[in-house]
Amino acid sequence: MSSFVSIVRDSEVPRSRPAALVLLRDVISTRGGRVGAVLVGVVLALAFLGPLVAPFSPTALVDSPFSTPTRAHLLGTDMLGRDGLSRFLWGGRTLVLTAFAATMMAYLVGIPLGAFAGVRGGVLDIGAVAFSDIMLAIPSLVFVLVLIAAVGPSLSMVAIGIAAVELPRVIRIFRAITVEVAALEFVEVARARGETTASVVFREILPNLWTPLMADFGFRLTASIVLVSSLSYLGLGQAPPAADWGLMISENQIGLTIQPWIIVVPAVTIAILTFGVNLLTDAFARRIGRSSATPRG
Amino acid sequence: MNPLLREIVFRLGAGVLTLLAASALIYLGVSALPGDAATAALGRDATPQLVEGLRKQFGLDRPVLERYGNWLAGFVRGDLGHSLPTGVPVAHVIGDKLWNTVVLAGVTMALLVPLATILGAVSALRPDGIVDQSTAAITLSLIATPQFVIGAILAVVFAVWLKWLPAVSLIDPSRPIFARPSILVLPVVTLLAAALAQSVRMIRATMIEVLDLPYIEAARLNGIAAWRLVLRHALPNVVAPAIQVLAYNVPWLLGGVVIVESVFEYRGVGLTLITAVQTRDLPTVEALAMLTTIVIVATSFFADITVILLNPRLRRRA
Repeated sequence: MSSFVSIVRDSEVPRSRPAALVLLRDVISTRGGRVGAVLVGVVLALAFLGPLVAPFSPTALVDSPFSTPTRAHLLGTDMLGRDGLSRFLWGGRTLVLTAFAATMMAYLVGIPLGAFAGVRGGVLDIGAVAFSDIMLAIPSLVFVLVLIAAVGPSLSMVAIGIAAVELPRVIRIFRAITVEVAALEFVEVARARGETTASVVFREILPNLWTPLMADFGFRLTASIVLVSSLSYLGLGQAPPAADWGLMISENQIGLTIQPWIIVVPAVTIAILTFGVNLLTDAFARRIGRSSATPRG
Repeated sequence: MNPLLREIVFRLGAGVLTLLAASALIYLGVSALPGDAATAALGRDATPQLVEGLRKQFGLDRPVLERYGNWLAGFVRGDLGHSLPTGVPVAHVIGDKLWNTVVLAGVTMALLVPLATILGAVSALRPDGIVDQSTAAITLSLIATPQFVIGAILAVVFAVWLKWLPAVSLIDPSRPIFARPSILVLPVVTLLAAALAQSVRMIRATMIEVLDLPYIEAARLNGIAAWRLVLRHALPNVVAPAIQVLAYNVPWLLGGVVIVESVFEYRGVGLTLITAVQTRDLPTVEALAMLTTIVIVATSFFADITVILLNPRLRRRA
């Protein structure tokens, strides 16, 4: 973790966002980072532009169920006879958006909370650390499943549940970094100047969390993508008849031996997405000099 | 009191406290959410009369703290509560499926430990060598891939295209699982894929650190062969971190079991959990979540104790 602080210390203007942009450029210039960026870019383009070029409606019945690929239906049809390619082109958006929303919610709550806990110490700090430790003893997937069983399955519940399991991890990381940043001179000066805790957090600490945020973002996003797609696969996320990559795999699994294409293509696409994000994250970690093992749980 | 014993008692206390807090989170946290177990379990059939009857029958009309106390007391006695709306004891719902899950997780762990250690050690021996680079490339691609994706792709390749293995792992309850070991292969490989990726990375990193220590340098200068250096001199110092790595993998492995059992229709507790979530059988879901947490806290407790016992310095200081 000390490396984050050294970056803060080394840069001439400690609180500038451009330092983070320079970092981004450095990452893209490595081979792994470039490949990762291209893979992620392709899948994102597919997810967001796909619906515009889909040849059929994702819910229209066009042929008999589980027809193998033909010129008219490049990925064949699914278990109800809907066009596989169209459903594939429609099916990425919810995954990407839900994963992104969950990550953002966890950050919006977790970073200020972690920063306050780190600066303030005391009961708030103990409480935040204890909460994180308890949450980390329950597997992410199981915790989200409990929430869904209580409130009922829906995409927004999936996003909230994932944000809830990411929250303790975000608090932990940003609390630890805050403790380090808070020991630096400019924070001490700010305190000596008589700045309030809130002012220290928002004016001195938070602007310095851009680099760690960018390094952490990939980990959080990957974990969210894995959870969102897994819950969709289990039939607890996107409700049918809407198209979704995770759901496509489970609803067509019964026809696996006749029509594997409609399973293979979304599966490989999800794998490409997580691999791409992981390559980018790895390139970031190397650039910052942090161990690149994916934190998860 | 013996300092070692004191350390063990302290960790045990911490574990019990964690479990208590987790149980409060699972039970009280959920009861603070909108809706209740009876309404959820009845779903569309819920009429006010039916919901009221079910609530009375299962004591859901009692104050929440009282219900939590009863639930917790039941758990300590081994009573896991009752499934809703059928009222079947959760222990019966789980029944023989627990053994199937234990087999799946156990076989995976039994393969994970030696494979991770060997691959990690070999990769560390020549950092950036062929083994290291290919292992790194494979782990990087597997580490973040959802298990259902790995499972689905493996099923297509090995069951549909190559026709070597069954695509679903249906268990005949009248025969032992090991009578048809082929049904275990794909679920275990799927679970291993990502767990192995994570463990190899961490063991490799520890091994490289250990190989960098002065005593290894001294042994190297004495002309000891590389393999012997790793096996005799470095490996014993990697055991403790390796145990922690594996304990760290347990929560993730348990989450993975849920997914993998669903992918291969493997009749285990994970599949029971998913069914319970889909039918919104909250008591069963809560009981299974609590059981999972107990397993995780217990593993991390035993891992900590083993690490202390293995390390003479910690043993004395503790």
